Amino acid sequence: MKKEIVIALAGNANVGKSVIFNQLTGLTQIIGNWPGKTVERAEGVLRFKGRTIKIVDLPGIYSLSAYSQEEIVSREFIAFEKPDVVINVVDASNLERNLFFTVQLLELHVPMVMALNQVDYAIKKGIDINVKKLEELLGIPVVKTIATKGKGLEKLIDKVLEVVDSNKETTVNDYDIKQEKILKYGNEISEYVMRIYNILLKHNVVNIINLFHPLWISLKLIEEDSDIIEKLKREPDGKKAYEEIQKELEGLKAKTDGPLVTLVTAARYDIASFIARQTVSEIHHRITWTDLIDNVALHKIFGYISMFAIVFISFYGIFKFGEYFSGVLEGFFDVLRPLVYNLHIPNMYKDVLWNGLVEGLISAITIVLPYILPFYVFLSILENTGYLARIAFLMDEIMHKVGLHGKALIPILMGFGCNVPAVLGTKILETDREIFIASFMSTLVPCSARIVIILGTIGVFMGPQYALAVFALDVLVIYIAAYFADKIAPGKPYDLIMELPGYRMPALKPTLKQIWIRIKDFLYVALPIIVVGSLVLEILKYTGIFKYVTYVTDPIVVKWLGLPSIVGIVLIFGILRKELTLIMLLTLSGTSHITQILTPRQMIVFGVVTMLYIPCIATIAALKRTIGWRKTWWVVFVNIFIAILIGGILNRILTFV
Amino acid sequence: MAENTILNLIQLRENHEGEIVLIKAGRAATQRLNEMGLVPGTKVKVVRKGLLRGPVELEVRNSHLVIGYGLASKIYVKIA
Repeated sequence: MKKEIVIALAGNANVGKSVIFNQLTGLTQIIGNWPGKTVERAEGVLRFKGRTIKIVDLPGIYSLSAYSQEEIVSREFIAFEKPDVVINVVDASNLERNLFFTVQLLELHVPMVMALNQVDYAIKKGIDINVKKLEELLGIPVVKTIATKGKGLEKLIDKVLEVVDSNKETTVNDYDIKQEKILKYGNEISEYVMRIYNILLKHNVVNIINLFHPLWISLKLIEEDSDIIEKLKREPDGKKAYEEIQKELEGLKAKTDGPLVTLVTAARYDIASFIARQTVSEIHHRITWTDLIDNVALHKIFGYISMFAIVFISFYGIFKFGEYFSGVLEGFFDVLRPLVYNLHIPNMYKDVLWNGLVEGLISAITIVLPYILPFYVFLSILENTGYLARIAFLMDEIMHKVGLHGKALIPILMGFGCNVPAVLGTKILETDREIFIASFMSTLVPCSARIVIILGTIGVFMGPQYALAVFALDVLVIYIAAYFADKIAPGKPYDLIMELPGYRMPALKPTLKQIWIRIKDFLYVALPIIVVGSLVLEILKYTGIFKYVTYVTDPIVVKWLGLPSIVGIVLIFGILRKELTLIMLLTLSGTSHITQILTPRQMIVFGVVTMLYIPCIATIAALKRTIGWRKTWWVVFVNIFIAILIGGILNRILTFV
Repeated sequence: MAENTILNLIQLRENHEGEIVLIKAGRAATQRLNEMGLVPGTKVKVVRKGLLRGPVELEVRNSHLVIGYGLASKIYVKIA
């Protein structure tokens, strides 16, 4: 009996794969990157009936072609790391498209179990699926699940263990496509699969055959998959084999109109729709909630009105909640002050302790946390209900003007939470060009930290309408900057291709967990940096080193931007975390009232400069991983330039505030 | 409409159906459309179109896809 088991979750986007992953693994999960790739890799551990099961959540994809990094990562994981079982998560309410992916997993001949998920939605859509028939046709166990409610997951893991324990080592020596029961591609393709397989055997390139599977590899070569061709050429004798395959395929090309990849894809869809027809009975076609809501949500006029209303009301709600919550927390911390000042230590230490340590902590907790928390709740709801995809639909045309499509708006909007996942999330886009433009735009989107700074200064002391005006200005800046980025970036823009998911009620537990994981980053990473940073600054204040720093920054900060000299220092520390700019400004000035430091005009200039001036250190790291150092420095430089330019202009024209 | 009229998806009106005959896009885009279930012979229905040159929402194989305006104009369908 194998004790350490590795299973992979594979399936389309929006099928509830991550929900299953979150339900199976606890709060301790590792989210990292795939080696050499910037695609996110989530790993967790499940202990079940005395067994330790490592679960790897593969990216949500529609195919195993070399179209995106996600797809390459997924197929290489399956081929190289050979998980004990692949759980294919499928959306029961959308079986045919999901089966297209299942067919490709079957081609790899890996041990599989299918999780037929979201059966509750399928029933609502009036769809019934014959599970026994499906098992029979696919030749793998199929388990009905409702992941959001945790239903069927225990049975799923039981089936996984059954497959693991019964698994016999299989090495393919003589493959014959005629023995396939369900994978029937028609005579032409089948014949060419065998011819290519024989060419590979003749040249003895067994390495690559065993890594994947004779059927899969031959189909990929028919499709002219660039990544597989490269791998083949690297094998001894691989180049010769490839030349022979090319010659062989000439015959097939002559018989087909259109690219061969279309021929193979169409054959796969024929298999998928055959299985769907055999197993799905649509009792009656019901009008779903999704159809009804979309009549408004995607309407040419009402769609935009409702989108702006949703975003506006949500931001207003976040602001109001934050304001209230912040007040409550502040009152709580005021109690601490006498405790510090009644200590029997020299006054200077009291100042360091209070201004540095406590004030820093208080600012972080009372200013940042009250806004971050509701914001993450809002973002999770937007993401998990499926509304984000509607925004992509509505905004596609506007995004087209800057060389992107509506889907690009999804990671960019995520930037409102934090720029790091936004920049990394641009990897869902197809080309380097789009990834570059979208990640550049993401860095200019005010993240929760910067939103807090603007709400906590301009919003509180000047009124929410001024804060909104600053955000509107930012949108304009982002759009203009992207317009120029589109003009200088080489290459051609791509068009939108996106599945429109049905609306879903976000499940409480996975949503809370998602929010917790995001908040955890703030508590464990940001909070210590803020506190230590405040303390270091407070100590530095007594050493008098700031004189020399401000000597350098003064010409820009004081003369051009019209801000207090001290801002030059906090802007440098703000590179670590943007929250630091505000928190340290308060700490250094020994007050928690921004009005004692900045005039309204300075507040706006300070807010805008902080919003734009440089991506924080974590975002710079994410940029480097996504677009490389050269483009990252370009983004950093342009951000600084834009911030100084616009800040200075505002300082000169805002004479009335 | 006359029998076997060939239209692209921009020309096809909302709530009308057709059968894909040809996709005249680049190799990568064609492959992506294929993988999303748009292959010759597939029946598609235009559910709605976006504002101005906005995207097109299709119903295909019992699910909904959104295709950008430019690509939609390269997908040709036959109306029986």
